[in-house]
Amino acid sequence: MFDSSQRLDRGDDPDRLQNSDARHESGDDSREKGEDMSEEMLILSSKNRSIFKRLTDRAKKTARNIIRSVKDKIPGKADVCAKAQIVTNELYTHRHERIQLHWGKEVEAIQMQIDALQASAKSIQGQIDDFRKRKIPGVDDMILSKRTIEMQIHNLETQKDKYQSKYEAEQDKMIIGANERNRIASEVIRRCKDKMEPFERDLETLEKRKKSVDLAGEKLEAKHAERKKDLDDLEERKTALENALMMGNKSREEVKRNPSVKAIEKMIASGHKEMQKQKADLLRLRNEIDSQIAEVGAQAAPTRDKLFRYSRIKEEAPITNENVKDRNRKVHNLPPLPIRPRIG
Amino acid sequence: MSTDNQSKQALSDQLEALIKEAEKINRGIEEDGSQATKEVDALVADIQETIGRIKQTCADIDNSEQEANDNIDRSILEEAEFMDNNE
Repeated sequence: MFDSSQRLDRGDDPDRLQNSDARHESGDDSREKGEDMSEEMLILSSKNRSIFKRLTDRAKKTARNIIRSVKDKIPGKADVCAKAQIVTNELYTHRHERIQLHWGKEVEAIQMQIDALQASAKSIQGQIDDFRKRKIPGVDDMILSKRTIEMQIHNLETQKDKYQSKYEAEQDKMIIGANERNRIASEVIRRCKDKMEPFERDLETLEKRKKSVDLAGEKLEAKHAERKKDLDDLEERKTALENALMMGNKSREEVKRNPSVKAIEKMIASGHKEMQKQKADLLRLRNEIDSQIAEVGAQAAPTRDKLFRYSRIKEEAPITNENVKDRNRKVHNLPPLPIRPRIG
Repeated sequence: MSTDNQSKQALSDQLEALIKEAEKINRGIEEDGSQATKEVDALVADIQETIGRIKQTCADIDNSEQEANDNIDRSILEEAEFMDNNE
């Protein structure tokens, strides 16, 4: 349906996409079953997909719209806090639109009826006053009519209150949701703050140990230089003795066949060979260490960025949404709300 | 003849001395190598342990973030369900 490069071009979080790809490849592939494999579904965990699957078509559509909208707003390196903030805003927008629609259709209609009835009541009251002034009979019937209208107004007000309560309940639910997302983001921040110091210490340790390995290599090379000097000196003295032997009427070949000379030559060669082997072994080990450190360094870099990013966020207020407030009540002054039970 | 023998013996002794010296140098080279190996092995063990901890931290943070992402996604789904139930 789409590939990673396309998604990256749109500024998606590579980690998140990687996870969705991993989920895709880990036998969690629903394509074969002919199920919804929209982009919105792909970013969901298998557990969330299960929740998604059992939603009604209307709820699925709402969820898909919100997920798509959040995804479009998430910058390339969005963190959980940013996502929580965006989701809070998106959910608020969706809910707010829905509430507005609700009020538009239901409450405004009720209000129009109330206004009309109030106008009627006012008109009847005018007639009552006029009849009383002119002492015309029939006022009692008019009073009865007015009371009937007032009762209707009262009933409509009650109905409007029900919608108001529903609206406020939804707003409360919104606050609970925002609190929950705050809690989720705060948990990540807390974990990051806990890990920050030991993680930095580990990275420093790695650098120090790498330097120590380099130093051990340099120390060995210095020792080898000394040993090489000793072997060269030995070689010179052996050559001097060979020359002395040749001066005693022995041919070069005879001297070279001398067991002691042969033993010395063998030992000198063996010393050089051993140093070369040690040097090669150490070089191989250093290369292996360098490559492992480079690999873990590449892996650690994004984590380090995340730790820095999250650690800079003030834990007491990771997410704020000025929009989440009621028009009629100060719900934002409510005490911390309990976390609601989860679906599933 | 006796001087010749003495001279040969002296050269032979000197060669034997060189052999002993060569043996000593080679023993030294082996000790240097062994000492360096011991030192580097301890460092490598420490490096491996540190790398393990770093990888674990990376995995922990990724998991925390993924878990949080999933929880936020779930809150979207719950919200959609709630909206639907309250229509």
